[in-house]
Amino acid sequence: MTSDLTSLQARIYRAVTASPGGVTETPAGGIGAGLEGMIRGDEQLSAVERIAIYADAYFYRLLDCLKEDFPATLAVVGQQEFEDLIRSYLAEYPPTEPSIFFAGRNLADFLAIHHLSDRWPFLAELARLERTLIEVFHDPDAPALSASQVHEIAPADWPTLSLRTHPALRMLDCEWRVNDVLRAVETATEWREPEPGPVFLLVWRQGTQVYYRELELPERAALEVTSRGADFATVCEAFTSWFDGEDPTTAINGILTRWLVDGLLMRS
Amino acid sequence: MKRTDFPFLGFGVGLRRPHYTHVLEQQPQMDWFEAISENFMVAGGRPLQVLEKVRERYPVVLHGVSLSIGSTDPLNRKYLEQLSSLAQRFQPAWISDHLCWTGVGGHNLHDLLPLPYTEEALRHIVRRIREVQEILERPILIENVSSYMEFTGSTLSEWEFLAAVAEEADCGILLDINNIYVNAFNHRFDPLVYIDAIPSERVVQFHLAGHSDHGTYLLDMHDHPICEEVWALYKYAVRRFGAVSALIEWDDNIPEFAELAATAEEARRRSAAVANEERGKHDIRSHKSASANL
Repeated sequence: MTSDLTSLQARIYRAVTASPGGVTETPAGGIGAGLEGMIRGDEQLSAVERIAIYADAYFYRLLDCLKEDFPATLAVVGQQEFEDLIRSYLAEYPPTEPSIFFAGRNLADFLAIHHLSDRWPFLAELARLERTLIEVFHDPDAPALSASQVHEIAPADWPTLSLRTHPALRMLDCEWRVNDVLRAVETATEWREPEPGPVFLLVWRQGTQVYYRELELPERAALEVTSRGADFATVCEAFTSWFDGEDPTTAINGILTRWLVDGLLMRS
Repeated sequence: MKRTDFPFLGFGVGLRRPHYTHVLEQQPQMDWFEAISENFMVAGGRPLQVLEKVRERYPVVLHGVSLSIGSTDPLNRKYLEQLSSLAQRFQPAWISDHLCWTGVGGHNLHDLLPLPYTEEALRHIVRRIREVQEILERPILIENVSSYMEFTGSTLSEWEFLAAVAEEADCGILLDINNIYVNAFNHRFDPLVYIDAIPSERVVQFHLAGHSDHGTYLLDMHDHPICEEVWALYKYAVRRFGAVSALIEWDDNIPEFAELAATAEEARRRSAAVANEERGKHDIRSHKSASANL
């Protein structure tokens, strides 16, 4: 509808997203200009002061949410830089979804081309790891394959057993050991600049708890194959291709046991 | 639609993350819980598991913050599908959201912005509420929001607008007593006039909450205990509307569950006190009438 309501909402939206201090009684052309004719002001509060309450609430609500979602990114850059970062992030990626849970979904991409990454080249990867933890927390529920279920399968049928990874599981390939930074922040110890990687990370949820750990290359390759859906023989092949002349049987048993204990697998 | 179409749930509290473990493990005495719909519009994980378990033991209501019924954007069909799925899964006693807009141009402000109280806005919102009710296959409740600005173009008062929306859209009202008090201060009106203007049979639920005093305005933060003035307004509302399901909201500086539960009990006590007063008046009237007939 094109109407008074449409133009009013467009004007108010522009003023509210001007961020704290952005709405001022400037001459014609400024964000606050003309609001006096639209919003009732009185001796208690002017029109601009009234809209500024909403502008403050918009910014600080999202800032608080993103501080909670990205505690390690915040710890690295500090309060003031983080606030400036979020101000510019929201200008580029204003929220579009009904749930505030999605507000930070583009922060890692934004950081990848942000000047803060010149100073802290690992920052985008750290933010991506933090965001992944949140997404895995909300990924779909599904029954994981248990050790007892596997033991019920006749050994002769194992090679053709179709497997896939649990939907609440993601893998991240990082150039920096950002998991060390996150672990330090989580345990309230002093974080240090991470060593260069590469490091392969697994993020998964078991029950309602989200975990992350490093993957060695053979395990990463096997999980990668499994994530696309594969039979057990193919998974083993992906794993053993990294072994040069050694007997991989013990390692395969170890990794399969760990996957089952951690709830990483499902029957395809 | 009338209040008796809905069950009387008693006195409940908002289901908030810091209390999830307590509620699941202790299963405290509580009449009902209100869950924020958007917090459960996720694929899986803890929130949905918590709500599933809570629903097994308690009545639940879904309360949304992003329906954006007043926005000039088209209704968000995906959002409504998610809401409909949640309703099918959790069978809430009712679904509510706010008389406001939360974004425009495909963007979301994650805030409840007031509307101009005009005929144009009224027609727009009534049409959309009717559409939402058809999609959800049930009447919804619309809540009055707290606000810090009013528009010069308004031709109706807030209470006239709310009453007209409810009557013309044939929906229920979730009357937030604290929001009336906050707005009465922020916009200088008499809160009793507001309450007197609301159609009684459409009021299905009350919200009670605390606010922050910023000197020149009151901010509806749900971060304080309910002040005595809001309790007094609640008493007035109970006199006017009778027994209405009431819910305590607390969203910032969230206290221990026990304090929330105690506040819900306080609402019950105050509501019962009003009912007793009214019964006393009725008894006196009946006694006088009987005496006169002797």
